[in-house]
Amino acid sequence: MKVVEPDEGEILDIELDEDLLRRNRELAEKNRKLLDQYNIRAIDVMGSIGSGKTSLIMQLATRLSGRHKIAVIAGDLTTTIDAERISSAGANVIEVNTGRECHLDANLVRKAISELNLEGTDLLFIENVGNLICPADFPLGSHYRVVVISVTEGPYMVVKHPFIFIDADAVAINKIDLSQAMGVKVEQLEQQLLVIKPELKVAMTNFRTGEGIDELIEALRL
Amino acid sequence: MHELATSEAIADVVLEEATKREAKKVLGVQIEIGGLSFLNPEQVKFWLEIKFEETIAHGAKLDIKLTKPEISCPECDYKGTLEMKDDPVYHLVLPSLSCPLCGSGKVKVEKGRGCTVNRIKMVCP
Repeated sequence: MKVVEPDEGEILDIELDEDLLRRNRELAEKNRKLLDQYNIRAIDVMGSIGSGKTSLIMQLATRLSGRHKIAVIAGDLTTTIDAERISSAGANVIEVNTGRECHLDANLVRKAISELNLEGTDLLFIENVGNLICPADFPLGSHYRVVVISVTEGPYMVVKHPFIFIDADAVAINKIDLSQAMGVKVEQLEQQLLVIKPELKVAMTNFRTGEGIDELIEALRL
Repeated sequence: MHELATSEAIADVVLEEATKREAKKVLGVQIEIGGLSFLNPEQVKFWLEIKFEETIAHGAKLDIKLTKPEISCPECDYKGTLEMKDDPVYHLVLPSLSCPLCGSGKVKVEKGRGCTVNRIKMVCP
């Protein structure tokens, strides 16, 4: 390989200040404007794998279908399992396969929104890919962000992943019926969440029975 | 895993700029990663070195800085860094999105979410 040895005078030092996450933020703002134009409230549901994101959306869709026109954008790596589950709860579902990506981004959501019947929707759930890390860097344009965690993930979930909660509005601590078996103190998880963000709304939930769903509905002002 | 996607975006920005200026070689790139982003500087460096292989940016000096987050409080006008609180149970420190002066929880994150390509040093004809 040829190596070019530059003279001092030929070196250009360019200031660029190009923020790479800014492009996503700008697209997210556009998504938000479009949703506002159609009076659609969007809720980004984040959380770890198997914590109960799909179950939460199914519970909310079943309870709220009487007073809201609900649509769901379901993000998943390659399968349609979640989309089919949510469809069975009666919501209009658009599946987004992210392929190898570990999060939804504003561009994928923009494409999904373009497939929606916007006039026939006033409440949109966006189910993110199961992950407590990457989705936090990619706002989608939603009005609220909910994080679902569960006691089966052990007692260190919150202290290990504190940053995802900084951008959240509400957190569901799910599967509380298993807390004793898991040796997890849910009050301790709640305290840690409130240290990270005092404004957080925290609900203790069991999505299999519907416990705590009303609290979440209230927290999200649905 | 989004370090890979982010590194691809960084490489695109650098190589686009270099092509635009008909650069012969990219000598160095300065990158700033916000402390509230989830990007690991070590991984960004690893992927970026791979992305730059067989390009004019091969071997460029990568200067990647992790910057401290900054918040502001609308209630007492505090501006500064985020407080880290000790959790005595786990001997861990937790970032706290509350005002270290007045305790308000209504603080706003001003800095620390971005990932910015700040400078590129290149050899131009």
